[in-house]
Amino acid sequence: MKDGKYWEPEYETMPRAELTALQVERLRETVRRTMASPFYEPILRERGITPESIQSLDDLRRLPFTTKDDLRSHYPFGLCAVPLEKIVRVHSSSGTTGNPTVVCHTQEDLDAWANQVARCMYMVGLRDTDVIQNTSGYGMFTGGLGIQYGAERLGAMTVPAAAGNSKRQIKFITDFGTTALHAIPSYATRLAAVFHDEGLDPHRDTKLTTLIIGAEPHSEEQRRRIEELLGVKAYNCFGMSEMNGPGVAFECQEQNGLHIWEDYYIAEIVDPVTLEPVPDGEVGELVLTTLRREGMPLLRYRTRDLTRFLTGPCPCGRTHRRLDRFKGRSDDMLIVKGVNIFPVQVEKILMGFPELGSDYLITIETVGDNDEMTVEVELAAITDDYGSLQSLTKEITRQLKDEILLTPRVRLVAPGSLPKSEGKAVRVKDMRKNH
Amino acid sequence: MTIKQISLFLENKYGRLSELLAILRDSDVQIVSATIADTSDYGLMRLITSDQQKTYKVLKEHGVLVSMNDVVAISLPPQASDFARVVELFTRRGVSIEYMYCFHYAQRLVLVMRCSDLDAVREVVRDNNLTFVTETDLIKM
Repeated sequence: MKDGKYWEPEYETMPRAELTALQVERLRETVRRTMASPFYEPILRERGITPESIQSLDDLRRLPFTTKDDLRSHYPFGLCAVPLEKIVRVHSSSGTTGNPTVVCHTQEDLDAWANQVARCMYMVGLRDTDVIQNTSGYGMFTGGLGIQYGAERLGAMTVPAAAGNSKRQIKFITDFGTTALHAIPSYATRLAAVFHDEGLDPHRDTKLTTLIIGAEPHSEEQRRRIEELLGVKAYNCFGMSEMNGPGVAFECQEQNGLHIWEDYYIAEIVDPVTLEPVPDGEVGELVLTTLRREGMPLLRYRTRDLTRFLTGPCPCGRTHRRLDRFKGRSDDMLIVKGVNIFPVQVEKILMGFPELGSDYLITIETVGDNDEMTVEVELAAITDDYGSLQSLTKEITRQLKDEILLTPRVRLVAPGSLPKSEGKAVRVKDMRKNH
Repeated sequence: MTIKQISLFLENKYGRLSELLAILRDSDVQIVSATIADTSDYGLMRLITSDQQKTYKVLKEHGVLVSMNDVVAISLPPQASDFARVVELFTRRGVSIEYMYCFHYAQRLVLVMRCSDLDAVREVVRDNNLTFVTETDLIKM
């Protein structure tokens, strides 16, 4: 087995210049592969792109973007770049809105995926002596088999407990001496509560040291709380089924940003509207190009996830760049009077006021020739002072203007008066004529 | 020397006032005074009732955004000259009035005020033979 700090030191600590050269070489290979895909071939031919024409990473800009809609409209195998007999597994999204997206894997692809996940686990200190229990659903969801094969590649003892049945999970954790768990943050919190109900203290009664968390957005505060509850170090995991699944980017023991494996992917961060790269360190949409994938290589896939590159080297010694904690989805973005606005920006400002509740509604409508934005927000408390409500409205308006660069109309409303759809809060109502 | 006043958030919505008053009527609370300060979006309603604690509790139970605070209520003869005289007394004593409203009750004018210096108010009332309205008085109303 491996010893030392890195699973694959030759790749993980590769000097940037060499890493870039490796990316160019692999991008050329990827373009060659995509020429066998019924989806990409005509686009590449029309643009006059050949593998030989890829000379540097700047040539990436000549390649087409790929979207989730492309995957849906070429369901199921339209982006497959190898004969179907070479495909050994398909994974698929749930497809709650229209066709699901399908990803086809060759045996090589699955091996590469397992290697990436093993590299992530090794990075956070897991070894073949560890017992790794996976609470993800197995099946088409990639968090099950993805973590499973990665943990086996690492050489750990695996406990494929799958989702649900918390008492049984806890029995496995205590009986098998589980040291590491893979769970979504909300389930980790739930497990902590069940431990408590069973009269068990995870700090004292288990060997847990490590938690791998992903799939759900969570704040730093939530991570620290889970670490405290379960007595573990929790590491943030990023993945998406279009890019295999878990293991695309992962936190190291510094817990400050997720290393994106640049020998497997080219990561770009672009403005979701202009699709031009944003300056290093600024937030934009993450765009990923696969570099090793055979079954279904993807060029410049728009992940819709918003993040930024953390600048500067990581003390862990890995040269692969780090992505900041994810900020939200670009699908949520509104364009009002030419300004890009994310509901989270509005939410961030509103949550800073103790006088306000947590429900709010952004309405955009056409008034005359203009788009007007109204922010309705629930009051949580009042006093007898009428003036304070007026100055509160003024202050919210001012802070929103500073954040989103246009002046919304702010309305204070009574608790419980904002619309809910199937129990979930409605955040945005776009009533514009051209929308 | 002070009584409780209820403030509540009133949405600018057709029928809302009616709903609120029905809640109070059904709970057997008598409204002694009601004033509304309004904007185009909402109003802030200030209420004095026969039982402020009960009013607060009932409204809260119905999910109304409500708060309770202390105000001064003073009873005086209902002539305009008396009103002017009392306000002048406070002014001379250096009392700032944040807001004020009044209502008539049993041939008397009741001034309700929120003001800065309660000790000064007490002195003015004592030195000029004025009367504070108390919570016990309200129950009788």
